[in-house]
Amino acid sequence: MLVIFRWIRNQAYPLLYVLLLLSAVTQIFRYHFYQHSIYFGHALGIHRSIDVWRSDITSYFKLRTTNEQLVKENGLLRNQLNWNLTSNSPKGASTYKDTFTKTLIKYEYIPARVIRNSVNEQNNFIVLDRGYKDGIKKHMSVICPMGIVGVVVESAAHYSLVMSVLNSKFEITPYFYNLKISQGVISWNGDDPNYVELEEVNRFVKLKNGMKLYTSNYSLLFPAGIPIGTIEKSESNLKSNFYSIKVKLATDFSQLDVVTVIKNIHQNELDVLNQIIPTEEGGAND
Amino acid sequence: MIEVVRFIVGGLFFALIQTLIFKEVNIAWWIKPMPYVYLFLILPLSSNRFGVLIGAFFFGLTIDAFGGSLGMHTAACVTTVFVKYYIDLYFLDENSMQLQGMRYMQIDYKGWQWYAIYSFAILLTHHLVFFIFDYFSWSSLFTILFVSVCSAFISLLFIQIFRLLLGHK
Repeated sequence: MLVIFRWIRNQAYPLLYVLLLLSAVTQIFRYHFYQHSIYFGHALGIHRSIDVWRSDITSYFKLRTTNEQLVKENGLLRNQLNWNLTSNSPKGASTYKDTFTKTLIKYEYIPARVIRNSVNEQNNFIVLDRGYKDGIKKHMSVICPMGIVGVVVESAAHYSLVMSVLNSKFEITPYFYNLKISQGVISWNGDDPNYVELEEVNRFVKLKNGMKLYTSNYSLLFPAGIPIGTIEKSESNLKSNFYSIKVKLATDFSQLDVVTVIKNIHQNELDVLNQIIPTEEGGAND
Repeated sequence: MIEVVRFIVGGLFFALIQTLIFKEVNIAWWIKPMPYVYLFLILPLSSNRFGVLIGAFFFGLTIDAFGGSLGMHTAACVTTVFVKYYIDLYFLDENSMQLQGMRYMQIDYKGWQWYAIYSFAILLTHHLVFFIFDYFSWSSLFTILFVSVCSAFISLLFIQIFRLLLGHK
């Protein structure tokens, strides 16, 4: 305190000057219209710039929260889509009513964050920060805003393991939107994480490069209409009845962050029926 | 005390002739002479600097009140007195001047060149501050400099006339 008083006493002359000058300048800005408008024009401009900077910085820090809010909102919106509604009304279906829309739903969406991911292995797996305490169970499908991601193969209390599309054991049947058919099997050959192979498509089907592929309504794991990818290149030869198709994946697996785990409300019934169908050992094909 | 009254009366006189005569004189659009700065040039070096600063504030306020230019002359006067204090401190030897019987900067101290430079520097400070607030635009920077130099030069000529009329050395 003493130092401050000493400093003020030593600098009294310049301080008095600044005080008197400020008083004069205040008069100028108050009583002269031209100077007033220029000063306040600049002051407002500076304030706006500062506001923009502040907004940019704070919105950057809020990105994670915003992202999570968007994922939740996406889940709510997906629940309202027509294809999510049950086609029949099973007994006791009223218990599956969505609390938000009061409509009968087939799927529930659980947002999760990817905490571990690989694209370089022959069999890639993803670890999510949600487990069975969050409602995640084996055989639930995982998607992201870009497209399909994989299938849950194991769930711990707070974490779950997902078999990525980039896994040699993962198989899925695509739906050709342009042709309105579901045919073939998509699998990864272990080379490029951006491409998968589509086989067992009849060579008499009229394919075009750029055709979009979605999950089929025959899938027991994924809801129909989730993007898989686009046909990059298709080859056929007379020796075989099937095409050899290269598909560019819709999902960029190197950029995975927030994903959605899809819970089929009727999964128990499907599991019971699925036990009757013989599947390949260890596979996650649908 | 008598000297203070003399300066107050002198201040009122300069404020009146500034607003009644020099404000109305239209030599050229770029020339606005403000020879009342002479009052600061004849201030004794031994004056109380705080008193002078406050006096300059009210002097500028009086001119602004008469001329309707609120704040501009006040800012210019306060800045001129503030800068003059440091010019006097670093460039004038007060003891030497007192021995020569001078209370403020005179031609006899180091010749007319020194006096002209000293007076012009103080005048230019005043005019620059005044025109900066008058034009108040970055794009008018060169106009401000030009107008300040021209006006300061004309003000210096009027100051020489005052000196002759008042019989100051």
